[in-house]
Amino acid sequence: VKKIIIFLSFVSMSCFSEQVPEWVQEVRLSQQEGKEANADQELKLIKGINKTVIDNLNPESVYLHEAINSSSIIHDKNFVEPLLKVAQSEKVDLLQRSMAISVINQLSTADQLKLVLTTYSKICPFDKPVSAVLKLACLNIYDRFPSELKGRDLVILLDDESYELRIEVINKVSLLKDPKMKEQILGKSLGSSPYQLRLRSIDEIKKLPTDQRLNLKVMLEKCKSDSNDLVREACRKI
Amino acid sequence: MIIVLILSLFMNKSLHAIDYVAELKSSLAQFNTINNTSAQNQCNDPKSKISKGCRKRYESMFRDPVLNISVGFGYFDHEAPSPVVHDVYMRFAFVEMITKKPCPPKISACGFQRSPDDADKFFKEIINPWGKKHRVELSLTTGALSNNNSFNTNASNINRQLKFCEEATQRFMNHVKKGDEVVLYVGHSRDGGAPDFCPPKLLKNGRRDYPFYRSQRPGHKRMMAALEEAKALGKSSEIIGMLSCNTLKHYLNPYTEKANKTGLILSNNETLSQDQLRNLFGSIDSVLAQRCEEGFAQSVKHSGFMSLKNVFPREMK
Repeated sequence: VKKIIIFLSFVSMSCFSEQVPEWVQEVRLSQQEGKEANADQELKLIKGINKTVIDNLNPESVYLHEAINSSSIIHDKNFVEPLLKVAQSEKVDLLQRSMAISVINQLSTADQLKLVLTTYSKICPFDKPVSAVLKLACLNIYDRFPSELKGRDLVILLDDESYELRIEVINKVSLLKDPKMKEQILGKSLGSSPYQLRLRSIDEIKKLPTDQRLNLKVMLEKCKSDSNDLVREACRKI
Repeated sequence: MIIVLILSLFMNKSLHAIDYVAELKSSLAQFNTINNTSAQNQCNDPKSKISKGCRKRYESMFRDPVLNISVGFGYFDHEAPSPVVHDVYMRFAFVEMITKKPCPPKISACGFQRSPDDADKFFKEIINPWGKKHRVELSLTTGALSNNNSFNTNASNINRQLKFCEEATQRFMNHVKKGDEVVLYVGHSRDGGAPDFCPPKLLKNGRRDYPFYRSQRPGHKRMMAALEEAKALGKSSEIIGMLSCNTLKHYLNPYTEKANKTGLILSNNETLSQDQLRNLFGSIDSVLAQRCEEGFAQSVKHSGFMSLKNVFPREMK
């Protein structure tokens, strides 16, 4: 009997996955481009599956990945609690856990933020050789928790293999409160590759008060003879 | 059972994939089934069975000592209230895949080496249609300052964002003007106003201002000027792929008029961001593998809506 049930489930799934109803396709597409006039109506339709999504936001569910993706577009705050359980579960792989956190970040209210941060601080792998996409998702949560951003994490990321991630670090510098740490990061990035990182760093240095800029005087002088034309020009204009 | 059935709807395509690396990796298996009839090594072989159209396209594409490929990641904002800007995530995943070493089996869009000091440049060597080593240079252009639209458009960053995306637009158009052999764009179509590397122009209600994009077509006008300049200099691209939504409708006629020898990859319908990313990867993989008609078409069929126009013209057969 068990085998028959499994077989029937498989057959049903195959049929469904090939014949996606039009409304599901429409809701997917409404997230992407245009169609905004119908988007609200379509989202109401998809909201009917909220319970299904919640049931599958479960570390044991084989449809966990799909449920996390669905929760990211339906935007229902009832997803926060089950997503937190997913994020905290050691049974779920690191990528799924961070994805869950990323979705919570979009959904959560102020009173849930501390809990999210506690979970998050346990799973973010800034010093590990994992996908840069995952580190980016982790980094983004500091937009909601600027006071919790640690300068030393940004310093680590400036040496990351991913140039994209190094550049992204500069976007977070303005969140730092400690002026010394800001100087350290901007000074380091001014001497690092790629040149786009140095350019972004110069943009941030322009925002610093004069006394702080003076602390970076040596780096700024050196930068006037940078190997890259754009960087050289930007430095000379400071 | 009902729960399983409903969730099975999401099995083939996830709705809003933040996990673009997983999306790309999952599509790699499909490359094993592609028809790999290829122009690679074929142009010195008089018995070669590849079509004349395929042979000619790649002979022309590899005429210069460097094969230049330019990829534009347009500003891919999400529908409010989400602040996600997808192109940054897409670029992260794309770079992760193309720099992968060793290359996965039957994949050519990999093993690129990053320029030591330029985040937008990548290099690799491949074997060309004459069996010789050939340098490939890949350039990326991104218009978003960060992956957070709220950050990009807040009062303290908006001017910097607008300057940044204007520079990105100019860089992308310069690639078109100087006739990079392959030019590809992913992002929003802005209902005919793309390519667009900047945050969307909004109506008072916060929705995107499509009437503006339809009437003004800002990115399209600049693209037409760039195509015209390239044509005047005799440097039209070999392939241009607009992989965003409904590009067949928006761009087939105007692009054909300005670049009648250029092969076009265009979409027949609305296309999800993860499918755009797969089609981008598939296009580059096909160019590097020098795939002919069937194989090339198979590699860009994600979402099932892509059309190849004039890529391997019949009159060449």
